[in-house]
Amino acid sequence: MKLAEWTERQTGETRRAVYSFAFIDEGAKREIRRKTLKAVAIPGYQVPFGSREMPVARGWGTGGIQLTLSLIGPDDILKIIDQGSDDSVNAVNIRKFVRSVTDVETTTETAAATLIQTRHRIPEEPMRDGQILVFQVPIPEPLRDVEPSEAETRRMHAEADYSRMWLHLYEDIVKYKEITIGSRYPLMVNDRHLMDPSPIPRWDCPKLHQSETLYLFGAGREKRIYAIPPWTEVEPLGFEDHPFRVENFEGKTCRFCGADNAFLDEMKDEETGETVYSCSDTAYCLKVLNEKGADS
Amino acid sequence: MNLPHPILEARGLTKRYGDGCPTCFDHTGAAHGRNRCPDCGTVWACRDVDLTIHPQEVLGVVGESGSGKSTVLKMLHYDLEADGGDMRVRAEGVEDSNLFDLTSFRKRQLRNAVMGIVYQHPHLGLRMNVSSGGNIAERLLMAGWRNVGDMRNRASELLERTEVPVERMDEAPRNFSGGMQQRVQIAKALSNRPALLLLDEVTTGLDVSVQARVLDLIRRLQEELHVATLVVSHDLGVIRMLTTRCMVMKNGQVVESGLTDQILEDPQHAYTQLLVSSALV
Amino acid sequence: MYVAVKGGREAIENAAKAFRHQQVRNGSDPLHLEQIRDQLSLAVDRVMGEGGMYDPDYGALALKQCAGDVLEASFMLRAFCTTQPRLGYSLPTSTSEMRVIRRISAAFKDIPGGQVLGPTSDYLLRLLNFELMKEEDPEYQQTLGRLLEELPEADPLPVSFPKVVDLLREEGLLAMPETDGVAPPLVDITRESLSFPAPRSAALQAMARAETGGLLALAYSSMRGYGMIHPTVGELRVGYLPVHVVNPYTGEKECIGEAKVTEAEIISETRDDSGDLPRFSLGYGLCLGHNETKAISMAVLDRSTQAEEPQAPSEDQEFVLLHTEGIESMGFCNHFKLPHYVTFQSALDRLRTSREKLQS
Repeated sequence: MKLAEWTERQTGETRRAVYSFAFIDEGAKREIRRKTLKAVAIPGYQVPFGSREMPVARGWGTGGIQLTLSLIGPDDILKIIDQGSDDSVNAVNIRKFVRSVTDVETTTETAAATLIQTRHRIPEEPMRDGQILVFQVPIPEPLRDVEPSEAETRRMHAEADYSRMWLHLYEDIVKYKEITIGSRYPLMVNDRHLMDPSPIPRWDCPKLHQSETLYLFGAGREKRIYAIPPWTEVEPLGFEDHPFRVENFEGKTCRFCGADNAFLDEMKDEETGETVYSCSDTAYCLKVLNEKGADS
Repeated sequence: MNLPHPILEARGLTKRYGDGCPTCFDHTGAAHGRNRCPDCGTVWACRDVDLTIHPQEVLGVVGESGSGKSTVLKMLHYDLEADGGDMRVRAEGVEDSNLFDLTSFRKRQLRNAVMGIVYQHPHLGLRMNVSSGGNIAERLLMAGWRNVGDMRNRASELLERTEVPVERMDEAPRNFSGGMQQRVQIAKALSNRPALLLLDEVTTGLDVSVQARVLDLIRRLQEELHVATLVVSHDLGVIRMLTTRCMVMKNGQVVESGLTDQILEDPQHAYTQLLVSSALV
Repeated sequence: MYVAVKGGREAIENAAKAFRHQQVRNGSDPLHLEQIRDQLSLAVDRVMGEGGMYDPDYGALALKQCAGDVLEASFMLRAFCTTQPRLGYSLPTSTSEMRVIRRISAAFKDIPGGQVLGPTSDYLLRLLNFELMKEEDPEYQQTLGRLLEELPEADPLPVSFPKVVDLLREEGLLAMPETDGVAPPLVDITRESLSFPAPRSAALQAMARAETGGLLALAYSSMRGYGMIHPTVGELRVGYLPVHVVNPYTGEKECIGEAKVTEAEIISETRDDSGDLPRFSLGYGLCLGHNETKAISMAVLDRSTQAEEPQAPSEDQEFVLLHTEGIESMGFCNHFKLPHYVTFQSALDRLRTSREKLQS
């Protein structure tokens, strides 16, 4: 559908009369796309951009939303997830907003989407060439926990001076016999830039390595865009004798679909008091269930 | 005499604070007893200093505070940006060009690979809240070590050498005495087997008995490791004990240089004579 | 059977309805925008300042919609700005051109042009006035009539006033910013993200948009002792500044309106010894609307962040600018209410593994 057709189709509702397609003014969208191209050209490097205010609070996905809105066209099929779920508050909110300013089709099926925006997860179902995954990023700076000053961390990236992050991991092992970073695990991208993958679990980190899909990261409050283009080397920091490890769900399965190869949410069963598990990626869980239903 | 090539060669080292003016050199320097130009207020912390260090050699720089001796050392270690001069280091993997002209990225690599430094104040050289082993590991990590076990072995070996109880390896130096902090700093400085060791007033501020022990340690390490070293100190005793050759600095300039024994026995420059005589008193 | 993951959508819609219901459930009269704009004008001013957009009607609308939450209302103005194209920039205007309604100096008793107290509640006792509880329309009109009668006839104020700090400048007692005669390029932080050290134009813009309470907290820390500024209010002005733009068709300079602003110039008693002789130095604050606390705090922080070696938080430019931004800090603070199930699951995994290893 052409943009002009879209405009014609609009009814007299105020938001349509006042707000243009995809909310952001066209000049700003172009700027964001230029910065995105730069990010793709330098994998893992945080590109500063003139982050705009969104009608969603800073810290609630405004970076991801700006990427989505600057990329989306009327023909896109959109999926939005938070914590792996299409129905979580943040996802519902953002989906409603993007739909109200674009009218694009939305889906919960990973394979059907052309554009997926996510908070804290990468879908379990492998993503393909041609799809884009947009991450919402609260703290784009992987070095922030070892160095509070922005001026200093910019210098550290420029000089690839990452020994303090390595030292942080070393000290963890000395104190706790383990690297204690749960999510937001630091990754080395293209053997050059240390990158924060947003608060995804370690479980999802390997999916970033040599992937078919373009990954874009947007931090609205901190005003940074960065990217992992397809087929990029992405390596979690780790030692030869203390390697990177994903979350351990050995012997645990989803109580709904029975999956034993997915990231699981843990909860207490209210009636029995037992610890039970279910897929964090709800669309995946449904898919497995449906496939089982079809088989039987 | 057939001397080997120097490992470090620096020419025309200059550091100033201020813009300078045409008459600066008419009023500053050792001959005028000041380093601040009365006309424009520029301070010439160090002016046109040349120095060379040969493999296995220990060179001393002595002078009172404000003479520019620490400025020289800090420029060589890239802690201070030089306003003029040329530095070359002959070591594996080091480019044959003025090392002051490198990018900050390369300077950092080079510094980590070929230099080790021990500062007067341990907090400049150590992370006080990180374990002692971690402090040593930081430099190894910078050099690409990725095996925790190997790093811990190397750290214990170094701590043993510098007489720090190895069982305290996982403790942070903030809990240690001044002398022990200094020994951890020395261990850290030696961790990457540097081609050049820089010692900046390492015993100043320590109790006399502790001083003696640290100096003994350094001398022993020199005998074992033969690492080329620059010793900066205001203390002629330290210079006498550690160095074979030395330079005397005053108001940002070198006033005398030569074999340490000779300079201490038979000082030529009036200022050196004053230093030597007052040290003997 | 698959129930655990559903139900979010409806709950969210209902939460929004419940919020709206709270505002209207007791059946009070709806607020008119004019009432908010005129009678809660300081709240509107604050919203415009922190929202970085000058439009009293939209400011009032935002306040009404947010049930009076000033931060949320400013946020709404900013989000609205995102949808508008940037057509151009207004021309620099000297504040000596300000149509002043209030100006005071704490530095001198007599200032050229005189002290003009103007509209202020500074000298009122903060006693609750219970008569306002039952203010009805006829009484309100009477009050208005009485006020007009009581206000003395005053000579109209001059079109412009000389600046107090210019007196000190002429005497050479104030440090002047170092320039080589060319004005440094202006940075627009809404188009370019801040980098540090930030040029002064960027720093001033950031503070003009910053949250009043945040600026106040940091400025107060400096005034109280975590800093060395010792400010004197050289001049504080409130008034209307003309907005000039270049007409894109004719190329002529034209005035397209005026905006109410508050300007503070504080003189720092900490001497600046960088020149031949010691001098005082200046801190500058200016914000949209009438907000004196903000303008003074901003001026103090403008001065304190010029410290070469920061010793206190208020002297660290990066610290001040990044942490006084109200919309961002509020958003980030509130985002912790969002689900963090996944990250917490990862943290649990690490903690359990580490405990197992340490016990074995």
